[in-house]
Amino acid sequence: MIRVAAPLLVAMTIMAACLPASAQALLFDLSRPRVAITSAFAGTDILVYGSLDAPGDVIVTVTGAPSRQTVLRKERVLGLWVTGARQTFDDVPTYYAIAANRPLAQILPTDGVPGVAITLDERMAAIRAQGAQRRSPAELRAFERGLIEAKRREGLYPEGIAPITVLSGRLFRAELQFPSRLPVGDYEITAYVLRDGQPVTAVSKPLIVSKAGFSAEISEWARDEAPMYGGVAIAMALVVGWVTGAVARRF
Amino acid sequence: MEVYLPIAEISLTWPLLLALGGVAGVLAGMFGVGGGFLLTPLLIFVGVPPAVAVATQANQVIATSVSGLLTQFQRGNVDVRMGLIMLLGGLFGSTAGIWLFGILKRIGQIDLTIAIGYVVLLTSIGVLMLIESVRTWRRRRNPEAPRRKLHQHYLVHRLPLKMRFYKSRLYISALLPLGLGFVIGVMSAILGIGGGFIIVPAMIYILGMPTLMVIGTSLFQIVFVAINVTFLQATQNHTVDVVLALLLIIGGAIGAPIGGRVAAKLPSFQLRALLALLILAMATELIFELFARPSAIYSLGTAVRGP
Repeated sequence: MIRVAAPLLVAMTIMAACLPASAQALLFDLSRPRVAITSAFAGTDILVYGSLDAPGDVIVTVTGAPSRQTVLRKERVLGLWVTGARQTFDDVPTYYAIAANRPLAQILPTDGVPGVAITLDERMAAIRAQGAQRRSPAELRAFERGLIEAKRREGLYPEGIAPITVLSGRLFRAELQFPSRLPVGDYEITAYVLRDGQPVTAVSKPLIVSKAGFSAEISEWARDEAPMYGGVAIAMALVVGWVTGAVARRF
Repeated sequence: MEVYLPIAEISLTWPLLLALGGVAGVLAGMFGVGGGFLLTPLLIFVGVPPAVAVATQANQVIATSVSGLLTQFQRGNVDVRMGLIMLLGGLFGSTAGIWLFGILKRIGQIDLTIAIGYVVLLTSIGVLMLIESVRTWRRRRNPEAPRRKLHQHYLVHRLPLKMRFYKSRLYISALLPLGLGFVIGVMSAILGIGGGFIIVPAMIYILGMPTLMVIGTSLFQIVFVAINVTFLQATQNHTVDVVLALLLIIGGAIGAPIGGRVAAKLPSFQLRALLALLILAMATELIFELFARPSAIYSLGTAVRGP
């Protein structure tokens, strides 16, 4: 039910956003529609800015392209810790971050908003476990928690809520910080406006994270012309190894 | 200072990567081993995905070994005949190893096999080398003690297909280097290592080759096996990162002469004792990891991007 309702709501609000400017409850844009991962990429900031038609609370979520993710569990076998069971989940966001103008507990009703997944726990309720019938619900929950912890350790599910500044109740801006270990893919940035704990409207914008320049060329080459790439890698190692070795011996 | 690694898909500081390559280079210069058994875990520790770490390391080993190989070749310290026979065994061995890897993976015991394989291998080699070098050291302090025979005759010397290896001054069965190459090929496929630290002691203790010849001939074998592995990894798994490899190679080029200079100052039994201690330290770390409760029970496996 939740999974069907969420995209529907987003679709409806996107349609609403296409109406003439005067009728729009929420307008926003990104400082850049694309994050280019070049050779010197070390994380980046993106500014989200927009306006509201009337005062309200604002929440922005950043969702990295949903993907299939395997989670491994270490188990004790005869006193040894070895990688034992593994569980695969579908529809796991590669990245998930939240920004809000106030603590989420003050904005959202305690039991959440039906049909809208905002907090990480709500979003993770939408992921699907493969072969779920093989495991007990408690075990699946443990795997899910393990998945979140592992993603947190890599900085891909930042724990804190980034601040959103609201000016005179109408204009808002948020500085979204992205880590250097950002997975490539199509991201979705969704802004929600809430009043009295109820979402009034939601608008989504795509953010494309892709490799660019030299690093894009290398990875394309490695994928499309693998034998050639392998040959060049070997030749590079032979030549550089020989030359640097010859130079180093002179000192 | 950050550089984005296009295949590993993370940014790391390049001086750190140069330093890691340098450590491997010092080891290569000192002991004639690639240092992969140390470098691979270090790369994984700084965040490089394990598959990329293993594959790229093979690419790096080509470079650290080739200049050493050329130097040894010029000095006439490479037994090409021995190297070719070992290489032949290595090619069969790595094919068999990849097949065995597949079976173990299906049974689901590949991780345990790798972990226990490493511990048994590192501990036994480390202990053997340490005992041997301590014996040599004692003999030096006490020259009156009876000397060992120039070479001992074991069962292995009765094998058929005997061949003369002029460079190494050996008359042994060709099955020995062939089998040794095979075993190392299997191990390098399963454990993902170049195998330098196994080949070197095995050539000294099992084949009875002179230490001078061992360094050059093992480099010969390592260079060709690493070329084969790099090509297979690049074409089958797309896990070779040339940017990472280049940084490691440059670091290695700086480290290797330093290691070489240290090696020239130390007597060879001390050098072997040092390598033995290093291998034992690595084994202890692995044993600790096997028995100690891990800091994180759950970890991320492979991710496949959705449509």
